[in-house]
Amino acid sequence: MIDTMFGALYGLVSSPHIMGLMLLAVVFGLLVGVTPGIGGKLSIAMAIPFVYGMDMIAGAVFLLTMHAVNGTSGQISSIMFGIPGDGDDAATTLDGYPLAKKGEAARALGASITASGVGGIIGAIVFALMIPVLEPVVLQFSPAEFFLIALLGISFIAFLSSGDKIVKGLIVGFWGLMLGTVGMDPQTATPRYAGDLLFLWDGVSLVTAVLALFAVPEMIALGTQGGSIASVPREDKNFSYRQLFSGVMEVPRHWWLVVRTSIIGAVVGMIPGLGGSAAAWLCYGHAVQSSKHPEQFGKGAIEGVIAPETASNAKEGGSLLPTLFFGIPGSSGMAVLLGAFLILGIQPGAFMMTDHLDVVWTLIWALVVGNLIAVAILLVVCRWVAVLTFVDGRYLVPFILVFVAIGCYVSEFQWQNLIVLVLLSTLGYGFLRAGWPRAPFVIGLVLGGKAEESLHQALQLWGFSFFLRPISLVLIAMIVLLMGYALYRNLRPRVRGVQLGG
Amino acid sequence: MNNFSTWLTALMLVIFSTMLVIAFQYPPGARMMPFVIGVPGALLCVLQLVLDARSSATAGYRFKAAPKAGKRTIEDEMAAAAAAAEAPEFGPQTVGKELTMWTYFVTFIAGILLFGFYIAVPVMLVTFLRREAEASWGRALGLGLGGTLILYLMFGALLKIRLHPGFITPTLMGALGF
Repeated sequence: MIDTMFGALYGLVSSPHIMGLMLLAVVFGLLVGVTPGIGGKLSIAMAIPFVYGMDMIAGAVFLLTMHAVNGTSGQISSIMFGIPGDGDDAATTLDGYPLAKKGEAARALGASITASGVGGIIGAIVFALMIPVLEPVVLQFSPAEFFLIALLGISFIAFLSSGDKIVKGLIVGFWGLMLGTVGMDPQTATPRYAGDLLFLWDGVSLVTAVLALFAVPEMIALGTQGGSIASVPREDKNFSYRQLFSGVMEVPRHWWLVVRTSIIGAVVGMIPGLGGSAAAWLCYGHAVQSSKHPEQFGKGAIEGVIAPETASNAKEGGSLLPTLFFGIPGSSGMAVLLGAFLILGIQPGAFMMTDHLDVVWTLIWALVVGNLIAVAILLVVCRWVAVLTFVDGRYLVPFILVFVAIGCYVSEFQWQNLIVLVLLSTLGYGFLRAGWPRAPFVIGLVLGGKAEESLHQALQLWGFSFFLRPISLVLIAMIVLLMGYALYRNLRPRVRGVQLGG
Repeated sequence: MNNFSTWLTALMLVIFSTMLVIAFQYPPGARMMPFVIGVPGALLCVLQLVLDARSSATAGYRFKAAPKAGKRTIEDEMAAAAAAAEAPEFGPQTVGKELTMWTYFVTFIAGILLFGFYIAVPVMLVTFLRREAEASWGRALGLGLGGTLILYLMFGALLKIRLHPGFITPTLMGALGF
């Protein structure tokens, strides 16, 4: 294992081609992260045409690096202007912006950028440490458990991404699974829901579906609402590199908090669906609770910047674990990444641990090296990168729609996918407009094929008694408990509402 | 009751039901998964419609308790952040703009199918930038044509990827002797 570990590192850093791609991925990921309206999912979907036909390792490293550093730059606008790049950065705004208003923007940026980088690295280390621990567990899983774990993954995502709208989340997740059944049935060679449309015999293109559910609705919404943040005043925050360095030094000064929040972030990342927002807020709460001066939080406490940023980057390492070993994406961003991995020829599952450990280690090192490059670049250019926050959204919309159309076409070189894009986009926009969660759809679509294959295998091996296997019973109990709690939460406000009104 | 959400639930119920009905035509092995997914999917839609109806019936009696000032918890902040990220503000006032955006998108895709990427892209970029982003003619033309040039250099020249040429353009080019 040690040989594989260091062999992967050597293979990564000794290849000018891969290192060049990583540098490109870092720059692209940072720019996308700070630009309003473009999230991590969208940036990966947009990058798919560029990695199409690329070597498996090079393509995977490029996409993972871009995804990993995407959140690192979003904090800049949170701190300097009080505008969170996405949900992950909202917690950072609570203390980052007050620090900026006190003239300590550079200190806050130095601390948050370094904390992000360190968090990303510790997250990758936690993932690496989990490999020998998880190996016997992963190898115990049979097709029966993989089917149930797919259902559990959707239930988790539906629950965590939709809160008290669990039923809507489940509907979207089941719709993703249902769309996964389109195409040639592997058991009977029956073309389901495809008729004579040959391009559908291979199923609905994952890239097209992801672009339709996320990219197009976001762009229509951005075009509808326009560039709203351009009106925020650009104040001078007394930026100095001396102050930036003092911020960097805050991270080793709070090393124990950094370690704790990194581990929490990585563990949160391992739970499908919890994602960066939850990791950031949980660790912000932890920082408040464990501080000797909790009253300073919200007024410019540096720990309030360090904790969420460490956690939201550490979770990327954690969420890679279920994605690679179980084929269950840890977040919707990871779901898109998983789809891209499948396109590149990386098949997630237990044999990633047995046969392709070199690929796993390369991806772990990509997280570490990518974060180091990102921190080095951002510490130098963060002040200027921030101006991208003021790019008018209306200028971005047409360019991103062009990328979307190219990504959709290039993914399979089928013009018919452009029509599927329009059809699915109407539904995706409907979900967005009605406030329904969209993440469960991607998970459902990604897991659909694997779930069906596992179900058939389990039935052939054990018949319906596969439900009675010990691990299956544990998974079923988890699904039932989760659903029970979710439905209770779904109904509870109404009961209370009636009582209040009555 | 959120009418749009309820209509969407009804639409999902129709989609699930239609797919279930179609699945009856398939052999048992092929229809198992659509049933395993479609039946609970349809039942969930029915449950959501019931919840919407209940919500509508009790709407007159309910009020939302706003969090007390200074008592906002991390869960409140999380919920607010998630809500802000997931639910942009839409309403009757945005319908016109939304339809305009959809017209751009659908026309753009139709343009690609008929005339190909290298014609549809500059036309869409210049039109959108000029009319929606209110860019000057010079900027709109510069960005639109520059963007298309980069597109060609990247995909056509560097990656050697042949983008969809359109159904009409090759015929037109042939007729013109190119």
